[in-house]
Amino acid sequence: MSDPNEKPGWFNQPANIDKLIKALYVACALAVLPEILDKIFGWHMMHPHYAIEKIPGFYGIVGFVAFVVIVRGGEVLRRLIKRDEGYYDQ
Amino acid sequence: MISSLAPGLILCLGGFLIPLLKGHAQRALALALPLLSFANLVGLGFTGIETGLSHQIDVMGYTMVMARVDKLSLIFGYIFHVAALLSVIYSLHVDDAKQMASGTIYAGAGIGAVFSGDLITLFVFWEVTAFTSVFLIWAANNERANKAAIRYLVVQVASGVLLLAGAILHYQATGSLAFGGLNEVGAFSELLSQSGPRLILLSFAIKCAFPFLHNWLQDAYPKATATGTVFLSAFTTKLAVYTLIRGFAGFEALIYVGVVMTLFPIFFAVVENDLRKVLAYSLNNQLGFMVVAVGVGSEMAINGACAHAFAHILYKALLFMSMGAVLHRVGTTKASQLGGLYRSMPVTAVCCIIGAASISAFPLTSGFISKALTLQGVMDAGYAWIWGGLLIASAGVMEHSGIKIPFFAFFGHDSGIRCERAPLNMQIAMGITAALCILIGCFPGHLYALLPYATDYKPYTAAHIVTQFQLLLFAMLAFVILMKYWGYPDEEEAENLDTDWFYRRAFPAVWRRAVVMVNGLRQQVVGLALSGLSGLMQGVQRHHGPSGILARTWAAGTMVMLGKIALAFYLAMYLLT
Repeated sequence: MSDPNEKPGWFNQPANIDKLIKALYVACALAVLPEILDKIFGWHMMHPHYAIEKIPGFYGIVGFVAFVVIVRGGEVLRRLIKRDEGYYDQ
Repeated sequence: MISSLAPGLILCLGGFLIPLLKGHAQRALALALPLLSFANLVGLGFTGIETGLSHQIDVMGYTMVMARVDKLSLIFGYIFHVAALLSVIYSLHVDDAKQMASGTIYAGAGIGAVFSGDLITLFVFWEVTAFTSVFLIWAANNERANKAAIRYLVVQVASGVLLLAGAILHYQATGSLAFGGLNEVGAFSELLSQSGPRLILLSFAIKCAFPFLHNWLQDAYPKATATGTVFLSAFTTKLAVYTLIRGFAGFEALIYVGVVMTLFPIFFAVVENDLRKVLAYSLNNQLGFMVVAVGVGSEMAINGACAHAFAHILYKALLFMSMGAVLHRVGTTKASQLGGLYRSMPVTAVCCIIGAASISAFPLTSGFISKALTLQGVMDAGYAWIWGGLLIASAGVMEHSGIKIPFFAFFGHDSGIRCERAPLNMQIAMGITAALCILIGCFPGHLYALLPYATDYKPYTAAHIVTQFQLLLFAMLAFVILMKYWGYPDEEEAENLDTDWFYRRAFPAVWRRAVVMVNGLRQQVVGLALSGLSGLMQGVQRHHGPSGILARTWAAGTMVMLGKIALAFYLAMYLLT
């Protein structure tokens, strides 16, 4: 077990977590940026296959919404299927 | 003159020698066998059998084709060898000859099945994979694992029996036991109106963990030993993917089955607490992508299924290895009891993250360059809704394998657990596997060259990189937002039901109820019969007993009197009519 006098690790310090989260915000912005520049300057580098892909940030929206729906869906599922541990051993 | 052995035989036969040796000699043999077997496979090329049928053995007048070498069997043969070697390295610290031997023979049987040119040879190897792999679950040596192992064996053997039954029916209908010709895919896709190919498909479906037939996987794999699960994750289900390509490529229904397979396990993975069981659900979801590709059946899609299977075997093994290392050191893989392990197990943590990034298909990893082929194949074939389903499933992969596995084991809340690093051999196996995931991702041409069909597909286009980063980074953003503001479900210790409930609870309960009912009914019937019998006996007693009316001795006068009455009655009747 851990030593009570041990310094918390880098990943357990809230200030560092905030830094990581800020980095993620920046990364998300950077991931959408090329698509917007592509629209503005007309580079035609995105060559969408379906019309829906033309929505700027379509993949980001899918990623975000799908993730939330999956987690919330999981919570609903848990209500149906959750039993005590050792349910099958009784 | 055959100058090489049939693929898989070196591992199958050599595996039996492992228990005969001890210590270093045993480990050296276990390491040498996959290398020798691989050299033998490559040697098939040098002996002029680059592609073709060879190693045909006559058994009681039937010709078994042990080596059908073409690009489709070769790519699976290669990756199975790599997986066998990595699994052996990962298991070297375990001093259990039985596990090492069964793992080796199991890998050999998987390879043998891939190169089988006919259904009977396939059936033999199919059953050998079942009977050898079950020891990897038994070896965990606890009651829950023992019971799960029996369930696993029943399912696997049933799959084999269906395969044999299908083969026999197919033989009766066509007179052939060939499992497709050289370079042929989808040999049975057009024959599904017949019962033989249908049974064969059902057999493959069980082994490939189709929806409702899937739960043996999540039941058994997490209960195997830390090292056993690494073996298990590589062979059985990917063998099924291979046989599906060979037998049923282009069978459209598989597309819909596959997309369901990619979607439903992700919800189960969200709620599951045991991280090795999360990986088992994740394995199911990955198989779904491959099954969709098999259903599409175009050259692009078949390439996608093969590339995905190849890459998947590595990153899934890597993830199971990292969780196996945690299990080995901490004794549990329950997320609720873990957290903060990156300080004790830094190498394992880094390897786990590489595996997580690969399965999530981050650019520069193997998942990115393999899944892209499948998605392209689906797009080209015009299945827009399926494509959308696979996108959502990709976000799901990011959730359970990309974030949940590394986050709850190595980061998150610090559980206070401090342990030793993983054994050196485990770290080496993880290091090699992680390096392969990155190398394949950075240099996809080498993997593409092994695919069944020539391709000049370019995965690294600006559009593909940008869209993939968007999908994954915004999924991560959703995780952060849920954690910080909207609430993310806690990891809870629980038994989560799945279809195994039917055969572990419902059927036994119905059976017990039926037994009680039949018993009750029997008692009632017997009781009724007994009371009826005793009533009858009483009646007999009353009429024929010592004081019974029929047993009484009557006086002669009474008889004369009765005779008179009868005659008087007769006279009266005569006069009246």
